[in-house]
Amino acid sequence: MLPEIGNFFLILSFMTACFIFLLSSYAYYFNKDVLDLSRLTFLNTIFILTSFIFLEIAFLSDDFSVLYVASNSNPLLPNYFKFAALWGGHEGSMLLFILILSIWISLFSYFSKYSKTYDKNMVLGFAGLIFLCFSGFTFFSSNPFERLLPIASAMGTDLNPLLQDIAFTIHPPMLYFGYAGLVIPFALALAKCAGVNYAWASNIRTWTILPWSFLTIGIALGSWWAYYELGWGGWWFWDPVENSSLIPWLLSTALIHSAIVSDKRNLFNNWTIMLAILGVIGSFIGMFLVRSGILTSVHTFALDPERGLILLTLTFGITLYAFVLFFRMPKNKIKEPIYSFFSKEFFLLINNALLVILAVIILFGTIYPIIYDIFTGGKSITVGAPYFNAVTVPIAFFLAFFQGYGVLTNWNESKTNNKLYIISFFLVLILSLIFSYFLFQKPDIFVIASYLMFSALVAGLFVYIYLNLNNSKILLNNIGMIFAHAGIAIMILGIGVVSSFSLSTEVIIGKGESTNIGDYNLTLTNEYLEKHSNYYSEIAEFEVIDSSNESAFSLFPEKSYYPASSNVMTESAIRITPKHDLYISLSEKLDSEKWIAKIQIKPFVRLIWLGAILMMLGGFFSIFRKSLTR
Amino acid sequence: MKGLKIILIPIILFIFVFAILFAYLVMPKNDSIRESNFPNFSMTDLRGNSVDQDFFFLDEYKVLNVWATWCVNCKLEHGFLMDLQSEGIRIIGLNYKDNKSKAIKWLNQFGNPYWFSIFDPEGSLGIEIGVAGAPETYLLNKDNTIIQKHIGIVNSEIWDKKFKELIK
Repeated sequence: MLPEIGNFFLILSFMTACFIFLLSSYAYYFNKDVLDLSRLTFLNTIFILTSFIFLEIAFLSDDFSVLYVASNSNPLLPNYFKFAALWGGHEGSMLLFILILSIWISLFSYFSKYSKTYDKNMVLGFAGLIFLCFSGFTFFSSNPFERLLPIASAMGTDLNPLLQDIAFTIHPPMLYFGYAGLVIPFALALAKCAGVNYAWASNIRTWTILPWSFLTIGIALGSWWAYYELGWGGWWFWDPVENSSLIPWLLSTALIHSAIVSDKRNLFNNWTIMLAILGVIGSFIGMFLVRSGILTSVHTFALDPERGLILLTLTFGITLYAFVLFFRMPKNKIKEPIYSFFSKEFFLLINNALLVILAVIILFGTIYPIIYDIFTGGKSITVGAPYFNAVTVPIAFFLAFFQGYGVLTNWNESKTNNKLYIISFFLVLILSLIFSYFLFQKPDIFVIASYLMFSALVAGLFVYIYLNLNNSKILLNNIGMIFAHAGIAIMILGIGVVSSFSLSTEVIIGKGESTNIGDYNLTLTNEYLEKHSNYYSEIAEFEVIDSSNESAFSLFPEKSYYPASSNVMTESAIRITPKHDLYISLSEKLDSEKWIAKIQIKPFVRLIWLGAILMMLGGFFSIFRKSLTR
Repeated sequence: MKGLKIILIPIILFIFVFAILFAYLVMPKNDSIRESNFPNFSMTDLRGNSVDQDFFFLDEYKVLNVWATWCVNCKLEHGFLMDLQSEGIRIIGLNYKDNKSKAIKWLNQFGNPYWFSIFDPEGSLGIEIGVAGAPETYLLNKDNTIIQKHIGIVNSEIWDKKFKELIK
């Protein structure tokens, strides 16, 4: 009974979204103010939340008569993972996605201030249309409430053990907050196409920064999870699924910057609108790539091609609709854009172009195996890290330089008053370069590139802060930018250092034996079994002596066995120090009762995620600051 | 207007992407439909015995599973292959681009679902039958024709959908 109630509320929210879209279309065609649609969006959120809660009840009460629960949960799972198992498969994550989308729409109706209800209704109408498409898709072709009758399974299968992890349970919701949030700038852009000019650019900017922050932290969580859970010590694999979250991130980064120009200077307007459209389409295509399983990846959801086709058709329809609206938009008489090569406009233009090129290159690399398959009639190819590193690093390099100096430029600036900036920029750049050289040493070309990028970014920020030291208002207003740019600088430094200076060794080690890596001496002292409710682990205890500061500690890498799905998982053990991570993962046990263990030293790997956290904080700070100064 | 022309580029690009994705979804999947003959070969298995295509004629149907110790997904697939074996289905392994001693240890530790495993360290046989990576699973009929192929992990759902009916 309960799941049917949940299903009923899903229908109700679908109907509400229909009303929102119909009423806003009515308002558009008859140019009349209907009622304020905000209330309907709140109602919609309540409906979909109720539906979500009923599905959660089914999960927590082990209701295996529901097909989706039976195939994604297990009575032995701890309650927390039962709760999170809801988004462990396709149907449930669609429900979570539309829940989050409706939350965004409600937040927008609550916080945005419009002088005319008509303007707001337009935006809500377009957002409602997207909600309509996806809730319809969920209800008609991915319904999580479908029953498994008459035979109910008593045990259920299991949540994929790879996903039974705290970081991984919050990673998808964070990403969905990002993907779904991008629908708001999309709706704002379409409303602009339909003639709503009120504060459109500043709204796009505000409502892109938030989902961008969520995307940032979602991607970082995914990378952190891959780092300690997959047991290889890698933190980015250019996996299709990772790429499909990176593409919307790059596009929304570009969108934030071009919306600034549209907001402040009323330039690049078409471009901003187009980016808002592309950002959403990029994230939907990413979703399709993950869902349809046409690309093999660690994460793929098995999904039948029919659903993939529906999802793709839906995305295509939305794209077409958006493009038609875009070209029907009444074009203003374009004023001659006036800005010099050293103006902020020009630097932001370059930044935009590079970010979009980067996104396109990554998209191309991701779907290249498909293109190759089609044109060669069935041959397959994999595009891996070498391609992506070779094409993205040079672009990122230029991006960092333009970004570093771009911070110092002003709107509509002429060339003359820039000498001081340029000189001080390069002075600090060189100082910072020398500093990072002595801090890390042993450079190869890749590290030097990352030092240069780091230095350019830091120099720009440093000079910027110095020049504005006596003007705290400017600094406070740009606190978000400073954080976000510092974050990317730190992340680039981390990437460069960890890619070049990592130490790694694979050893066969038995009880009582020891091995050396870097300054560490590791001894395998003990082995034991530990039983948990739904799995058991073999744990190896390593005693580690750090000869650099004469300290000792223990590490406990594990190998876990999940009987319900006959899966084996590697849990690595990591010792975090300020300078590096010591990383041990067990790969397998030999007949001789010895372990094959992979031991790695990852210098400054934490900088990568620290950078991501700074970027996210930057996003939140800038929104916070804006709402304070409003 | 100049700005608009630039904006056409992403539109064309996205239409191209959509076209590709649609084409790929709609196009008959060669991994399930195109039948081809299994090439003749002469190699050794992991135990060092020599094997060739004649071994394959012994069974009415045979399942060939491409695996390697470096492949994480193979470990995830392994449990299901053990189940298959206990149901009495003979699986021939193709140990792909791997290290012999590692492979033997792997089988000893986790269990051996294979009747025998062809050892293909260079991936030469793999290239001939069109292996893209591991795991991959092939179904061959009596005449050594590949009649089904699956890229990625085989689980009971995929087995029932793609393989089971062809065997019966």
